Amino acid sequence: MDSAIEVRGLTKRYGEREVLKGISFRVPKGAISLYLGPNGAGKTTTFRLLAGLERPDGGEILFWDRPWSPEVKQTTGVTLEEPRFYPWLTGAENVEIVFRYRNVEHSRRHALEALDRVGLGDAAHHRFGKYSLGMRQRLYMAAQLFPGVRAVLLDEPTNGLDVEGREQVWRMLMDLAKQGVSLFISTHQVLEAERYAEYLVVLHEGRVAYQGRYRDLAMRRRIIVRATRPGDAVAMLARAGFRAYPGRREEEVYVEAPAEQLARVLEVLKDGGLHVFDGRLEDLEELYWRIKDDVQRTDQVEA
Amino acid sequence: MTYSELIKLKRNPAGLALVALAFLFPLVVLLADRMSGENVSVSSSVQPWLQAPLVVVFLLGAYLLTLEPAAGTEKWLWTTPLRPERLALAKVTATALVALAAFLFAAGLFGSLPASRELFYGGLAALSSLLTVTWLSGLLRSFAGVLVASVIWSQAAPFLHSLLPEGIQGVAWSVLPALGLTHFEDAAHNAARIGAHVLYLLLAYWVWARRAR
Repeated sequence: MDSAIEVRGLTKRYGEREVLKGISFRVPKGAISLYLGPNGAGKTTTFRLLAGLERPDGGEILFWDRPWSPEVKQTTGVTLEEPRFYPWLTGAENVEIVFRYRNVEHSRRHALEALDRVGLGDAAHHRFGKYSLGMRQRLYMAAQLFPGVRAVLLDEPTNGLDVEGREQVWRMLMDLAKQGVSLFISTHQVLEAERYAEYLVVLHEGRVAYQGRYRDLAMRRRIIVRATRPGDAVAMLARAGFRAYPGRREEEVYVEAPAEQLARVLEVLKDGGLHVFDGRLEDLEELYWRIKDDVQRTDQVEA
Repeated sequence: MTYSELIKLKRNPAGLALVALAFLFPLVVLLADRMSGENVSVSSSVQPWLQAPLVVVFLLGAYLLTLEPAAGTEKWLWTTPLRPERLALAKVTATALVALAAFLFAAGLFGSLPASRELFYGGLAALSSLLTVTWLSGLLRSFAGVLVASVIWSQAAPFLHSLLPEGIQGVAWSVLPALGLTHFEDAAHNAARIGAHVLYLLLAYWVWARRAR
């Protein structure tokens, strides 16, 4: 895999608290990679280290095999925490200034184009101070759409956006990825990872719990059925050659089988005279909790 | 880059208020003198045409180099190829341009242009002050800090200077900031003065270049 970003053994400690415990991962070129983890997992710390705002205690970060430097910054955009723009200037003026910081020629024209791409064309000449939260987030993204951009790091870009705003941002990000821009996006929203991630890095308590293609992770999803008499359901499925066991909730049965076996599982239960009132694939959030439990178990064994 | 600084300034309420204050400063001094009683007079040791540019340097210069980066530019310094020393140069240039406009405004207001020799030394004085504000702002990173440090130094330095042995008072006067550093018309210590400016220029470069690294 060709990497846009490579992180090796990254550690960061604040006083007694070890926020990142030697994490390593790769972000592939030209794909949408999501950095998934709950609040406090260390996502923003990782982004601050990637963007050079803080120094790691240990480890290495490489962008196209080079450390963070003015040359790397020339082709890499970063949105981190809240946007910092001048409230008394218009959206277009603010983006134009950032493009000038990047030595972009014809910065005014490119700024207007970038605003169009994020759906702020009509508000380009309105003052930033009058922008809504969603517009501010989109303007922050427009400031990263400079000519020659190769990678963009986005820390929780859809935070605070409504459904429409989120959809607009994701559409724009998918367009960018199609143009070959490598995107590394942090989120705590599993649904976003499920919908948009091509590649996934899952962080849990300062450790990488999973990294790889979303497709490979999705293949690990179990089938979950809810049926009357779950004990009988487990036995019937076992007789049919499935690895099944009782779930966490009442009437729930987990089946270790790929997605294409769902219809067959339902058929076995129906033929056995059970009333099945739910049959589906495990969602990413459930899978996430399972991965998290695995990491915790490993930690306990190591301890 | 200077253009960016001017764009930012054009609608910045705080920046424009400081510019207005600086432009009107000589007028305020004049009106205060007119309105004062018979036994009181208000005057400045600096010519009216130089008052406005110097106030621009100390107020707007310090503002652009401290408060404004903290508000808007700091994060961009880390995440874009923008070099801090280049940003500082753009802010210094923008301040110098506004100071020039302030000079023209004051000269027009009072209807008198200084002689070319006076203008030359006045210009050098303003540039020298701008250099001091640049490294002081880079060191303190605080608008209030720069203003307070400037006021305290201007009051304390003459006293401290008087405590020095007589033999070195002349040189000390010419190399210490905000004392004789700007008095280029006093040719006796110009070599030391120019040397001090080179050192302050290097200091300004150093404090700004090490930022965001």
